[in-house]
Parts: sequence; structure tokens; C-alpha cells
Amino acid sequence: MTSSSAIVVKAPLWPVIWLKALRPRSFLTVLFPIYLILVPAAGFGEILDPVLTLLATLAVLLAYAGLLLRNDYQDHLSGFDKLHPDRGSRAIQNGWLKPETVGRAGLFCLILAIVLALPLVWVLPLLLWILLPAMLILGFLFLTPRSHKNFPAGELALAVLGGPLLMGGYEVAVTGYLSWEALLAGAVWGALFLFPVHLRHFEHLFVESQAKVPSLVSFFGFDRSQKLIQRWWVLTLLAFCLLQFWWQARLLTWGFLFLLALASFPFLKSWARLKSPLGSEVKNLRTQGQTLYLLLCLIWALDVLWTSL
Amino acid sequence: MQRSGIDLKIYDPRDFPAYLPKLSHLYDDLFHGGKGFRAKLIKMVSQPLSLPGRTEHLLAQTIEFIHNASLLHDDLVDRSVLRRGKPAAWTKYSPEYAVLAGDYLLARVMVNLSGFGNIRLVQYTAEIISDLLEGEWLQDSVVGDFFVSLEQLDRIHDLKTASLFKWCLRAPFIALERHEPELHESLEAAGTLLGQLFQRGDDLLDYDIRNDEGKAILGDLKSGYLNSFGAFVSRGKSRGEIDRLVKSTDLREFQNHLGGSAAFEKLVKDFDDVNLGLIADYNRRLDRVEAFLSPSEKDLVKVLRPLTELLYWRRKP
Repeated sequence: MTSSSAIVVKAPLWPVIWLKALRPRSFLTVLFPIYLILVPAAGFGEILDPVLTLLATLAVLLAYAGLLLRNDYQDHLSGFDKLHPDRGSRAIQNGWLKPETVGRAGLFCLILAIVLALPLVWVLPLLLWILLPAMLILGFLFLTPRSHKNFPAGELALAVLGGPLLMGGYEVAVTGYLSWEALLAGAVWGALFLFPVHLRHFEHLFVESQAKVPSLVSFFGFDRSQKLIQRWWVLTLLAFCLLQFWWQARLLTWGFLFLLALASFPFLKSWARLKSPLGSEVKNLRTQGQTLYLLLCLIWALDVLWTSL
Repeated sequence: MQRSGIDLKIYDPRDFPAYLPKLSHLYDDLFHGGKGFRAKLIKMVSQPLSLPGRTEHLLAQTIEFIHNASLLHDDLVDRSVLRRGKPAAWTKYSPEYAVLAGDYLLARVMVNLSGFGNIRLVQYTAEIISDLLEGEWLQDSVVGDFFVSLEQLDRIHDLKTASLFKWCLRAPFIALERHEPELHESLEAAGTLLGQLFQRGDDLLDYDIRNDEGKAILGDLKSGYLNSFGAFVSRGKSRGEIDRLVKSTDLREFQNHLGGSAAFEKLVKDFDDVNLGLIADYNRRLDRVEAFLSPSEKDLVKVLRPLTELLYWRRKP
């Protein structure tokens, strides 16, 4: 649908364009696990080598930037970005950057990430056990034109990649060892960061189902996804509580968790009452769900900070 | 032979079993009084393409059967007691008969089309019926939701209303075994826009805008349904404001909630401006269709272009 008068979007300055293309807010997905490993390691004096830590941090950030840019490029090639006019960085869609430029920039970031990771692997061969499966998953998910959106379990693979593999690998790079704690925390983080992903897919269920986008939500459909999302939140919250129990969390953390659990009830109740994938409540509830997700991240971040100080 | 209100003899009671009580009376009531616009659209598209008469009749009958089947079901789902100024079939006969009569029309469509022997036409028709039903289902799922956006309503209308217009444009070509993908893509897009414009023009009648046919004012709103114009004027308003707006008991109150009749007229103009964009897009699509037509067929575009006058502006071209 087009308007009779074209809307011209004035291009911002090139640093701003690239900043928008990189979507800084989405970096929470990798910054948070970095924080969860780095802060306790620094607090307990467990950083093996600051240079290795810096290399690892840069490698992770560059790898994520590369994946984001490649994802936008592939979404444009496949036409997936037309399904969601309000998603993505819009840098390609607004004509600020050519698709090939974005694709090449993504590839450059990924190659640079690999180059930075090489000395890490040289010094810490244990990393290979994590990097190899990670690269297999990455290649599997991102080598096809429609990227991870082509595979029904694509988002679960992303959760493994961004959860236990990322946290485990980063812990090895920072401390020189791999702990069960990091892998478990990574598993919980992977489940947690999928929650807003599910919410987003649910909000666009109708459009994505018609376009046959194979997400978990479109696979389950409206009725069962309603339950999936409710249960996902409850189980993630429970898993996090179990982790806190294992780590002997402070009373204050338990207090905040209790409040968060209470705050979840209205969301879960309203979610159960949704009647339509096209209704107005879906967007509001998605915002509420995202707020709950961010609050849990905040509680976790504060708990880690207190424990490490 | 029973005549309907249109030139093409869409409904003939001899096509239906006489041993089914009340069926012929029900269909008599249904097909009389209808404007048969979709059948006329089929005729408009078929004639420049020199479609054989029997095929044209089959297509016209098919689309009217599908459309009227949806009306039979619609009235029961919405609990509308009147249809075209007369008691709706479910009130006059029974809800069971209304549902079965609608189902029977759809069954006849499949019987007739499969007899024609064009499997692509059968498949496409089945897809359109499926889309129509999905649109009905989704529309029912948002009844009572007065905060739904125009974009979401467009998705519903694309399935519920535009699907039949798309069929009217594409089916004659499919019947002629003309399957060029780009042609059908353009026809599909043109049909979508035509359907959207028709729906939006119809929705404006609810607010007594260009309402020469005397449609009931605020009927949609009172049925718990926020139509496209309602969604358009609600943009950017708080939930409290929308709540007051949708509880309006008459048009004057509705206008007052929007800031008075002058503000209301401005919103109508803004809505018209948006739809002028759709009309421009529709004309561009027709230009693309024209590229696929032989010189003798180019009259098709001349016939289709002014339809927006009728369907949106509600004036004879």
C-alpha cells in the first residue's frame, strides 16, 4: 500500500547510519552474558589475562555485530523484511545502505571476530570444544538465504549459541576454566532471551503463519502458543530461582524475585484471555512481557554485582 | 426460469433439489434484491477477453454463490436480523437452514467447477473460500475490540472482502488457461486494492458519508465492530477517548467526541486522501496488467479503471 505522496526519509550522518544498522539495544543479548562472567571474575580476581579478556570481548561483540548485519542482509534478500515493516534497522529499507554493503560489513565483522579468536584458541585449546560446535551451528543457521528463520528449531539453536556456548566459551577465555555454573546460567539465559523472541513471533503470528515462517510459535499456532508463552515465562522464572537457590542468593534478591512473580500474575492472566492474533491487546501484552524480561535481567545483574563486590 | 435481479441468470431453482423443503424459497429471498455486483464484475472482465458465454455464466454463478453463502453465514454469526431490508434467512427460516443453505451453495460451487474440468480454477476457488472463512473467523475474533489498528483490520479485509474481488479479476484468466505469473501478481494486487477500497467506502456509509443507499448509521459500532474509518479516526487517541467515542449513541455525539463536525469533515478528507493513494496504486497495477493484454483485450483496463469511482466514491463513473 503506498500513499499518493512519497515520504522521503532524510539520511542521517554515516556514523549514525551504522549505529542504527547495528541496533545497539539488541546488544543486551551478548552484553548480559559477558557481564555475568566478567563481573564475578573481576570481583574474585579470576581474570587470567586482561589482554585475552579484551580479545574475547571484542571477538564476541564483533561476531554479534556480524550476525546482526548478515541477518538484515539475508532478510532483505529473502523478502522477510517486507513482512515486518517496523522491524530491523531499516538502514537498507530506507536506502541509507546498500544490501551488499551491509552483507559485506557483516562478513568483515565475522572474519575479524575469528581473527581475534585465534590467539585465544592458541593459548586456551579448551576453547576449541566450544568454538567448533558454535561455528557448526552458526554455519548451519546462517548459510542459507533465509537464515535461522528457515528452520523450525532455529531459535532453539540460537538459544544454545547465545546461552551456554557463549557463556561457557567466554568463561574459558576470561578465567581459563569451564564451570558447570556458567553452562547452567547460560542455559537459563538462553531460555530467558528467547522469551521476548516468542512474544515478537506471537505478535506477528498471522503474518508469519501466512508466510510460513517456521518459528515455534507459528508451529504451535494461536491456542497452544498462548500456553507456550505462559509456561515459558513461569519455567524460566523457576529455573532462575533454582539457580539462585544453588548460588545461595541474598534475601534481597529473593524479595525482588517474589515481587516479580507477583507482577507476573496480571500479565499471565491477561495473556490467557487473548482472543485474537490481530487484537489490540497483543501489542500491549508484548510490551508488558518485555518489561518483565528486563526486570528479571536487572534483578540478575544486581545480584551478580552484590555477590562480586 | 426464475430470474434474479441481474442480467445473468445466476440462480435457477431447477439447479437445486425440489425435495428439500423451503430451500427454493430461501434462495429466492437471497438472490432477489442483490445488486450482483461481483457477477457484473465477472462480465466486465470476461467480455474483453472474449470468454465463452457458458464459462462467463459459470464464473458469475460461482462468485455469487460464494458471496451469498458468506452472507447467509455472516448474518447468523453477527446476529443481524435484516439483510437488504428484509428479514435475514436465519430469522425467517431457521439458523440451521441458514447454515446448511450456505454450505450447500459452496458445495454446488465445487460440483459446478469440477464439472468444468479446470483443476487450477478449482484449486484457486477453494483457496479463496478458505481465505474468506479465515477472514470471517478473524473478524469475529476482534468483535468488541475497539482498539484494533487499521493495519490489522486491513489484514482481515484482505481475506474477507478483497479475496472475492481478486477472484473476479483472476478467475477469467485462469479459465482461459492464462497463467503468466506477473500478470496474476498484478491482478492479485489490483484485486486487493479494489477490495480494500470497496470495504473502506462501505465503512464510510456507517458514518453517513456518501450514504445514498441509506445504510444504518453507526450500525457497525453498535454491533461491537470498529470498522476501518473508526480505526482511522481513533489513531493516536487514548483508551479513554476511544472508549467514549465508541459508546456514542448517535452520529452527532460521535462527531462531538472528535471535536465537532468541522474536525470530523477534516478526518473524512484525510481518510479520502489516504485512499487516493490506494487508487493511484490500483491504477499503476492496471498499467502493469495492460502490458500483458493483446490489443483487442486492452478494453479490460478501460473498464476496470473507473471502478474505484463506484466502489469507493459511491458514484456512477
